[in-house]
Amino acid sequence: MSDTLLLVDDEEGIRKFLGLLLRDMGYSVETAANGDEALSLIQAARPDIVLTDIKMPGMDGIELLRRIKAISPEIEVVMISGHGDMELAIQSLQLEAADFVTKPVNDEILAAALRRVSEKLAMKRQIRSYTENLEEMVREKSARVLELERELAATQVVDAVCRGMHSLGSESFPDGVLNNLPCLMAVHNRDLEVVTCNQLYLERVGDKVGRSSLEAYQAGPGADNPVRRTFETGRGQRGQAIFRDPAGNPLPMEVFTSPVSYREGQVELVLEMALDMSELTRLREELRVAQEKYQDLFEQTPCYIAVRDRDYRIVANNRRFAQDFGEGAGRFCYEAFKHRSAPCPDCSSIQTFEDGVSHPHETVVATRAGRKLHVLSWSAPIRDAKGQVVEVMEMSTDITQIRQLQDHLTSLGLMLGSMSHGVKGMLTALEGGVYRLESGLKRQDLGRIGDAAESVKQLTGRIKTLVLNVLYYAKSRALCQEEADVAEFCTQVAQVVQPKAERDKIVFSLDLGPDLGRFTADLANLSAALVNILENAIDACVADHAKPEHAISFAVRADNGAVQLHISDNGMGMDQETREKALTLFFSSKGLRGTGLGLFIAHDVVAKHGGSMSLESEPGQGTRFFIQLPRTLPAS
Amino acid sequence: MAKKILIVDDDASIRDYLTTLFEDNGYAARSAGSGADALKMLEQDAPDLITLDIEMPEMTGPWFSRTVAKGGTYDRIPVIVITGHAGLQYVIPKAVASLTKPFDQAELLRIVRETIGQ
Amino acid sequence: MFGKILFATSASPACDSAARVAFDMARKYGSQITVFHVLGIPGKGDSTRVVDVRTGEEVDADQEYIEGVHEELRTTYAKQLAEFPSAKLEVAVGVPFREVLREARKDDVDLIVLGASTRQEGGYYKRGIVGGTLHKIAKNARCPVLTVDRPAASFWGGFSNVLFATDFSKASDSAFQFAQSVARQVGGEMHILNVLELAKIGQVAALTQEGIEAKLMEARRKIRAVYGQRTEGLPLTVEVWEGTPYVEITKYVREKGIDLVVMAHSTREVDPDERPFGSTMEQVIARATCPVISVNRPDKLPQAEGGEAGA
Repeated sequence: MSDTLLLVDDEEGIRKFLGLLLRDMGYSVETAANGDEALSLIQAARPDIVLTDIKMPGMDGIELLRRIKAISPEIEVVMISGHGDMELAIQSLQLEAADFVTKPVNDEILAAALRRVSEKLAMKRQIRSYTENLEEMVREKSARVLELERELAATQVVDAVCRGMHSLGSESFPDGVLNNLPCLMAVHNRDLEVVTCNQLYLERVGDKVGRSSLEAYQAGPGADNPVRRTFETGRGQRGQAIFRDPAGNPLPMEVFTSPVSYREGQVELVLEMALDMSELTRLREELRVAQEKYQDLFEQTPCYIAVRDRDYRIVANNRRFAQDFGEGAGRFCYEAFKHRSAPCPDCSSIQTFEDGVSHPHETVVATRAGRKLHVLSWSAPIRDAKGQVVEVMEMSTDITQIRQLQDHLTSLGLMLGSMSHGVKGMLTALEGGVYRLESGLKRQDLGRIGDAAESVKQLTGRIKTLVLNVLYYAKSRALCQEEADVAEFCTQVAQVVQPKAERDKIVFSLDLGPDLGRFTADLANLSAALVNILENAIDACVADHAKPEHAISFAVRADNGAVQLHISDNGMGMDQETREKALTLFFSSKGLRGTGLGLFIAHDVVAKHGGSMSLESEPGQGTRFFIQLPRTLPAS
Repeated sequence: MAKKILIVDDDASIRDYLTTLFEDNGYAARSAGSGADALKMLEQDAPDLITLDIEMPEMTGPWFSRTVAKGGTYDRIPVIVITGHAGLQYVIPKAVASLTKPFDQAELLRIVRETIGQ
Repeated sequence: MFGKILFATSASPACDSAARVAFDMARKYGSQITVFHVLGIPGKGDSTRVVDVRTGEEVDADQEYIEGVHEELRTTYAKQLAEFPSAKLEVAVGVPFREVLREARKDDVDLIVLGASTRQEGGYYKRGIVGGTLHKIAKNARCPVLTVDRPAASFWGGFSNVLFATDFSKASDSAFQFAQSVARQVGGEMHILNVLELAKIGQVAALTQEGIEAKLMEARRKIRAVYGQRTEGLPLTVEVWEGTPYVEITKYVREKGIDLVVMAHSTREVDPDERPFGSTMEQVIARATCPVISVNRPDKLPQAEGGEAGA
């Protein structure tokens, strides 16, 4: 390295001459004509050496020396003094000049002087560099020591954590649950090196102590990494990442990081916890499937489901409930379900809140549309984690149709039960008739044959009526309309009944009024109904032993809108109780041969025609039936 | 002399039937349409066997039977119950048999034969 | 009827009721009556040592002793014998039941009358006849055996209501013959009772009433079927009751005013475990308020005057 030199002399010739000389010596030379220029040049580019004349106009060399030493004391200054300037020369030495040479300048003396200066400079440089090196080394070493100290501390912390975890694992959780948690733990330092890790980490990922924190991650060192980010941001991170096992297979993990210690405001150590994702994923999936299933069930069940809290407010309901009762959320259950303004007195949900047991409850509710439904409800408790009942779920099934069916079946059953004796009697009698017929034929006994045939005919008629009545009741057909002349129709009915009345010696009279006109009716059913009533009248007469003669009258009248039929007899009559029951399913008067169904059916048929039927009776005197029918059937 | 059978039933068709049946088979048969009539007939001429319907208006089978029992003498007459109700088979203490309507002709005749002979 | 009556007695007061019945019947039906007494159990071999009934001592049954017994009999039944001068007195030595049967056969009697003992074990008789003797006699006798246990079961003047209790066994048939024959001869009423023994069918409480009634009805019919023809001309009452046989029979006797019970003796030896209190017959004898006749065989049945004889 060649020293840089600044030559300051006011004589141009010397500047030229010395300049050349110095360049030959190997220095890079700048020149300045005076002190000020020299100072500017020194400011701009600090030379190593300044060679300056002492005697200069303006600032002299001594002043320049002083200035230079003030701003850059390390610049070596060599004075050029004139012959006899010994005092100035010594003064400059006192002012820290490096050397002086006298004019005329001897090349060799100058060279030697400059050489001495250069050497001095070189030595100074060396010393400086040694000193600097030393300082550097000390700094380095101190930092290292600090580093080690910190590492030790960190290890101690992690050890403490691990020990703590371990003791937690074995003492507080006897089954070693904590240890069995699929939780990998590691501590990282600022250099992104793994300082320590737990057993599971070792097993799953491998021994990464001392290795890069990023090795465990499949994504590689370049990718975003929670550990690094923690160091960078100083905040704990949380997210999913894929680890790598020793074989290189991916391990999906949920990663949590947390800064553990700080130094000078920077994160020193980071604790990394990784949870095995696959287990979590599986559990989450199971949960999701189960939830979906329950949701489906909730919606698809053909029941009304509403969940209510202790204040009677609905907190959830299924779609079916919403359809018929409106969205329940927030409404009072008794208002939504039953259109009441206060809680129901026999609320089974309240019972369930109290005893935590399901309770059934049958009741009638009204839909939004106003339709009444018969429902069977079950209130089931919903408990919280502590086992307390916090909500009650009420499931209600629509049993309206079932109840109707049940009622129908019950009355059918009752009817059949009460009828069976009559039926059996009829069948036995029919058998008897057939037997007599057969035996009569065998014996050629015409009398017997005749009697038997008559018997069989009668009985067959009775059985037919009975069977038709049962079928009518069991099936409840819709009416089929036919138009007919009223008088003709009634006459036909009378004709069915006349022979029976005569046989039992009852006077039967048909009384048809004027202008009866025509009407529309289900002729078959209406005819059967009237025959039923008339036969009932016959039976009443037969059962009456008090009067010697009996009569039945069948009178028909009509006006514009309706047809009126009166059937009266002077048979045994009915007492009040019998009268009240006469038109129900349970009418079976003692002494009458009937099955108890006929009058009920008759009443039903008349009602279906839009008509009305009533009766009057006195025990022992007789009975009168009044039937009114509109000329046309009602629109159904 | 033919054995005498008294038929008690409120249904005339059944009375006719049984009368014809028994007469055809060598028994002397009479019938009563009610318990009261039957009691009268008992006093006139005690039968060897009674067939008894249970559900009769005015006087039921069991009531007839009790009335007869109080009288003492007729208590010995065996009874065959002929009823429409299966549950009423055993309500007559003297009954040697009970048949439900519709009954089997042959069986009835067999029982009668067993009880009082030909 | 009851032409010859053999009255086997221990001559002790226990047989008093039997004595009364035997003599009352003899009076009523004009029977020839024999009073028969069997001396104790003989000793070993040919010796005539016997145990005296009353004292329990062993005595020598020589002629003199036997004479003494005769005398005692005469004294005991003095009153009756006064009324029946033709009554015979017999004393025998040997095993009681054998001697009785032997005597009955010898004389071809129509009826044996016994006074039953109270429960007696062992081979000695202390009062009345040794237990088991009744069974042996009844089983093997050729004629009916009438047993009277207590004063309440006396002959009250006649046999107008005769009860034949049947279990439809073959032996019952002979008993029936006898019963209906007696009923005819006395112009009385015949009652036939069969008892449906519930315990034999099964757990009583588990039986439906319908089931029981059905069985009762069946039995009623069976009685008529089996015995009906042979009761022509007799006022006949047929009953079937469920329960324990001896209890029902006792009740029937009481309720219907029965004067005489006729039963077939069960041919089998009664199993003491099954019937710790003895056979139905023994129980009825102990409880009924009338005499009980056991009939086992058809051999010796009374000939009714003008009536039917036997099957």
